[in-house]
Amino acid sequence: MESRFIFSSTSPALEFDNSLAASVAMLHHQAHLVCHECDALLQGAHVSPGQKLVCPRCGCTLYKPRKDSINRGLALSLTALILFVPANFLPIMTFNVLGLDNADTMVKGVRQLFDQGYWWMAALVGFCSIVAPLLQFTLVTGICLQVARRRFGPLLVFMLKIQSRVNRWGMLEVFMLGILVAYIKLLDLGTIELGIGLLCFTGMLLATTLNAILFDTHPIWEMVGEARAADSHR
Amino acid sequence: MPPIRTAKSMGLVQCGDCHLVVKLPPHQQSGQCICPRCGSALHARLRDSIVRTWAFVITAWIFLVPANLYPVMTVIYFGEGEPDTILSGVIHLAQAGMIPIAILVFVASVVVPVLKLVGIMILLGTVQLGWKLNLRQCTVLYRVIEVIGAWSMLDLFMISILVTLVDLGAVATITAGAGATAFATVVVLTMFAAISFDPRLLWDLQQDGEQPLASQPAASQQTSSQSDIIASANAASPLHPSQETAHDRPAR
Repeated sequence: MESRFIFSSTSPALEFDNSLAASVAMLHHQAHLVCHECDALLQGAHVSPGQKLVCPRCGCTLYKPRKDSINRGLALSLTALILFVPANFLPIMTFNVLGLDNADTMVKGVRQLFDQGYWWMAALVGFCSIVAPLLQFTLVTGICLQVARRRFGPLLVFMLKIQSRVNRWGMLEVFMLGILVAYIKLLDLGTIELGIGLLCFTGMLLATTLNAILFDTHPIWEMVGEARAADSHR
Repeated sequence: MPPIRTAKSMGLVQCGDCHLVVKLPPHQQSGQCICPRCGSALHARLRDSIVRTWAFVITAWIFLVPANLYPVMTVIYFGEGEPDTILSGVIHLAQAGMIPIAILVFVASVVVPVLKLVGIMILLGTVQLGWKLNLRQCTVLYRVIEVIGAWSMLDLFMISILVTLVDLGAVATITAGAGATAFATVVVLTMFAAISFDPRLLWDLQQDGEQPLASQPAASQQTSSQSDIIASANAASPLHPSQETAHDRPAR
């Protein structure tokens, strides 16, 4: 990672380095804004929390600032992280026919698929319902802590990049619907008891959803830019 | 209202990771530079977007065949039961009177993957064959495709739960089937297809400044709440003197 931040002294574009100190200072109040969906070049505007900036060309949301994003992100991701353990290891439901019963936990579901030989499916289900959410919580916690300690180094940049990629693979809300469908399907076949794991899972799902809405990486990137500008002045 | 220009036409690139707007040094291709803020390689458009998206779409269509022909799940209840494919599972649910759930499963595991693939092919056709479709609607289609992708996983999550719960030996067992593996592959491929498609290619069909903005704010208000601010187009003839400049990509 580190090497990519350093200008290679042999680069032909060395002449741009002179202007860099001045220009990096502009990172945090850029005059231009570019729409990420249609590439329209737009004039930056001041947006306060509660408002959002909309692209006039394609209508996508360019930016929606959030109040107190770091603290809220930290609180919610820590909540989710704490609930993660019981949600994954405690039974979500117990199915009972003729005195025989069987409990389901999220981890067990993946194990069972793996044991039946469906390793590809097990890997996918495990990644989308366990690994990706866990990565997401850990990274958001890590990012918030780094920002709180005002460390804007390569580690923060790395975490921000991974976080934005792993985001779409966490599918807890779909898993919730899967639980619902499985529950309804089994209603006629035997008795089902809902377990404490389901409660923890619901809590984790709420914390994730709120986190996705409230956590905002935009100001963090601006702080990274400012820190890099300050570095290049030194 | 000034006409809209694209960043690309002004020699600017937006970093795909940190969204910094960067000016490219003269005579440099976008792929050769890195972002001064986060160090990612800068690309004006996603690399080989069309080719990659086609590859994922075609592979997904191929896997869709075994996903629907092979059983996804076998329910054995007191010694009775036979393998179910996705469609026969939906029919059984409907016959058992669970119409809403049947519709839900049908939408998540049949309608969504097929519509996603058709939708992406419409977008590809628009870009490659220059179909005269409304670009705003195409962008909405793209957003819908991105959002609904995850919901196809419903069937797979349900299978993983059922397989674990109903493992009661001779009384009742549920096992997964080969179709589920193919279906899992379809879901992953459609998600990758959506990720690799670059919606900016759609808007590249429009010549710079072709569309005056006079009517746009009104159109935006239909879809967005009153508190929204509509960004104004930048006439952008001379760039800001201290516009951020891209760095040369170090040799690796």
